Amino acid sequence: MNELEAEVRRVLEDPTLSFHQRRHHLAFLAESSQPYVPLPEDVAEALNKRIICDLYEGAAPYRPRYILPDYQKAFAAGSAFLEMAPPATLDEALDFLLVMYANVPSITGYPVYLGDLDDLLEPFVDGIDDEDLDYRLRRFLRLVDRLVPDAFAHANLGPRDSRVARSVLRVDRGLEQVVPNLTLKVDPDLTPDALIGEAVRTVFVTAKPHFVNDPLMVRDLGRDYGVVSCYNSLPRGGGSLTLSRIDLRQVALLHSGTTETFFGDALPQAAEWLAQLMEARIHHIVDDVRWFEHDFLATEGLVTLDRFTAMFGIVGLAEAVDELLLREGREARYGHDEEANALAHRIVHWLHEFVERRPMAHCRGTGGRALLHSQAGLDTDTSSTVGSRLPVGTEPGLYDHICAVAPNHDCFASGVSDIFHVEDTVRDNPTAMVDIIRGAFAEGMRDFTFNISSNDFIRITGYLVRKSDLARFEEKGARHGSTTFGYGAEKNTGVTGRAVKRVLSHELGARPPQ
Amino acid sequence: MSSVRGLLNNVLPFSSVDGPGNRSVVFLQGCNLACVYCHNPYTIGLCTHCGECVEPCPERALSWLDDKVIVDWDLCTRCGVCIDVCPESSTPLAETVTPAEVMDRLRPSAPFTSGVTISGGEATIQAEFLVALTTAMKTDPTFASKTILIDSNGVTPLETWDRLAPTIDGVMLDLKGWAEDEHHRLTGSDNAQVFASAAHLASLGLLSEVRFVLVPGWNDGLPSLEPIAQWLAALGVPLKLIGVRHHGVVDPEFEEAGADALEAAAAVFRERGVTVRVV
Repeated sequence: MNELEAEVRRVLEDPTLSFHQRRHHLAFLAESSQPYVPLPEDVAEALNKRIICDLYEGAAPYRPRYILPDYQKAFAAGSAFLEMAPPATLDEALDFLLVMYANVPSITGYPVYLGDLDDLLEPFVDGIDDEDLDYRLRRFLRLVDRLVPDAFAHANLGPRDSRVARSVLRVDRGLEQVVPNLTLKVDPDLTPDALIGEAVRTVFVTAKPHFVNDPLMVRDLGRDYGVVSCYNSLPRGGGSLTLSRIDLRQVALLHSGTTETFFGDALPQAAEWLAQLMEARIHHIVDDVRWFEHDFLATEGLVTLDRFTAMFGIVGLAEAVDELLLREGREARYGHDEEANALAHRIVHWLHEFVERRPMAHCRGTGGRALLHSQAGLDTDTSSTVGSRLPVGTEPGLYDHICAVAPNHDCFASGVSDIFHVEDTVRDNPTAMVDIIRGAFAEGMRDFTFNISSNDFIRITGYLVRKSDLARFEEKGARHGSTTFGYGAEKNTGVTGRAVKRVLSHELGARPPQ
Repeated sequence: MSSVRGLLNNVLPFSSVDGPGNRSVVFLQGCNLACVYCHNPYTIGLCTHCGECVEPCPERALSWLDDKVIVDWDLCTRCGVCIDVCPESSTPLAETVTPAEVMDRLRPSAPFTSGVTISGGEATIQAEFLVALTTAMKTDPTFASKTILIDSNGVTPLETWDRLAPTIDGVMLDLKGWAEDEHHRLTGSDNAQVFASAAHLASLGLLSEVRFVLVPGWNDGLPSLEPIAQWLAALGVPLKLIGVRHHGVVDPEFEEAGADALEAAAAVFRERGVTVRVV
C-alpha cells in the first residue's frame, strides 16, 4: 500500500468516526493527493519548518475557508437554486434557514455562519407569544445541533434588544447543546443591561455567548459583519478566503540576533512568507478553481468576491516575547511584567502595520488588504500558546489579565478571542459580569469569552465541547466533528487537567484526527 | 484634598462577593473584634515593629530602618510568610496612605466596577480617614457615580455613622450572634453596639444587608436563629447567610457549615419573611 492508500484505509476503518466524518476526511485525502499550490522555494521551506502554517486547509483549496451568506438578501429575494420563495411566516423563515445551512460550505463542510438570528427573525414574531416563540426556537435550535453537528457553526445576536435575542439565550441554556456557538454584539449605547444580563445567565450554563464590541467592529468592518467559527469577525455577504498563521515562537527561536534585529529582519521576512503563502492559496480558490463563477451563493449574489478578505493569523506571541527578553538577560514574562507586555504590544502593532501596508490579492472586502487575526490554535499545538493569549496556567487575576491583553485588541480587526476564567461565586452576582463586560469594552477590548468551572462545557478556545462527550470519545466516537478535535487538544495539551479551565482553541481544517 | 492618613492593608481591584456588581475593595488595617473564624486574621492587629518577620522573609524584602520594619516593594511578592510568623495578627505590609493615594490605586479598575466597598479589619475604627476618603471620592469625577459601601461589624460609635451618612450609599453589617454570651464566645466582645448600629443605620436608610456567619454548634440552633429572623423581618432588611469555612483560619475550633445546615438555617429565616441569600 502506498501512503495515500494507507491513510484512506485508516479513515475507512476508524471506529471513532461517523459516516459523515469519514466522508469528509476522505475528501480531504483526495484533495491532498493534488500537488500543493505553487509556492516560492523559501516560502515552501518556511511552511515545512512550520514557521508559517496553512492550518491544514488542504493542498488545493476549492472553497473559501469562511463563508458568510447574506441571509437577509436571501429572505428578500428567495433562491432559484434552492427553489425557495421568500418566507412569509416564522416557520417558513426557520425552514428557509435550515435549507440554506444544508447548502453553505466552509472549511469544515458545515456552515460557520448561521446569521444574525434576531435581525432575521424579529420581523416574523408579531402575534407569537413568548412561550410559543421559545417552543419554535427550541425545535429550530435542536434541529440545527443535530443537522449541523459542528461547534464552529455560529449564530449572532444584538446589539439591539429583541424578543428573539432573549428567547435564543433562554432556550440555549435550557437545551445545553454545543451547537450553535453564539455571539452577542454589544453597543454600550444600544444594548441594555437586561440583555447582557440574560446573556450572562446563559454563560453560567453553556459558556455562551461570546461578547464583541460592536462599535469597534463597525469601525473596522462596517455595519454588515458577522462573527463566525472560533471568533473570526468578517464582512457579511463575503467572508475569508483563507486563514494562515505565523508561529512567532518559531520565528524568535530560529532568529539568532537581538530584539532589534528581530524587528528589522526576522519578523518582516516571516510576515512576507505568510503573505505569499496566503496569496498562492487565494489565487487557487479564485482563479484556478473559480469557485465564485459556479457556486449558487456567488451566482445568486448571496456572497460576492467584493466582500471577501483573508486572515493573517499569529500564534506564539507569549513565547516569542519571553524568548527575546531572555536573550537580553531579562526574565520578564508576558502577562506579568510591564516590559514584556510592552514588547508583546510592539510585535502586534508591527504586524498590524505590515498587514495594513501589504496588498493582498482578491481582498476587496477590506480595501485590498488582509486582516490581522489572533489565531486560536490547533489540537497539535503543544509549544506555542495560541494567538496573543497568555500561556495556559500562568494567567494572573482577572483584572491584571485584562490589562495585559487589552492594548493588543485594537490591532486584530478579524478577532482576538481572549478567554477569561471567572470564579463560580459570580453566579450569585451576575451584575458583576455585566460590569466587567461594559468595562472591558470601555477600555477598548474587541472580543472575549468567559469560562466558568462548574458546568458541563469546556471551551477548546472558540468552540465548545461537553466534558461528558470528551470522556466518552475514546471508546465510542462523537456525534460532533469538533469533539474529535477537542479530544486531540485534551490529549496533547491536557487542557481539562488545569486548575482553571482556560482552554486552547483551534481552527482546524479537514485533516483526519491524528 | 485631605491630608488625613490611614493604615491600608491592601486594595483588591475586582470582587464579586463584596456587594452588588463587580466592586473594588479597600481593606483597612486593624479590627476591634477577634472572631474565631476570621479568614484574614492578619488584618486584626497593628504592627509593633518587633521584627520577627525580617529574617524569615524569603525575598529579603523586609529590613530595619531606625527601629522600624520597612518593605522593599520591588522585592516583595506577597508570599505571606511574614503574615504567618507575625505574633500580633498583623502584617509588616500595611501602608500609611492618604485618600488621594487610595483613589489613585482604585482608578485603573474603576471602569469595570459598580463601586467600591471599604472593608477591613474594621474600617470604622479609622473614622477620620474613612470620612476623608469617602468625602474625597464623592467629589472625584471617577467615583462620583459609583456606590460606596462599608463592610462593618457594627461595633462603631453612632456618631461615626452620622458623619459617614452624606458620603456613603450603604452598610453591609455583620451580626455574629444574637445572645450576649454567644457573641462574646465568637468575637471576644458583646453585641449591644451592633444592634444600636443596625437600628441607627436602618433609620438613616443605609442598612443594605445584614450578614450572618453560620457556625455549626456555635450559633446554628433555633434559639440562636429565631430571634435574629424576627429582628430582621421587623427591620425589613435582607440577610446574606454565609457558611463558615476553614479557609484562612488559624487552628479552627469548629466544623465547616455543610449545605444541609445552611439550607435548614435559611428555611428558619424564610419562614419568618426574611429575604435570604445563601453563599
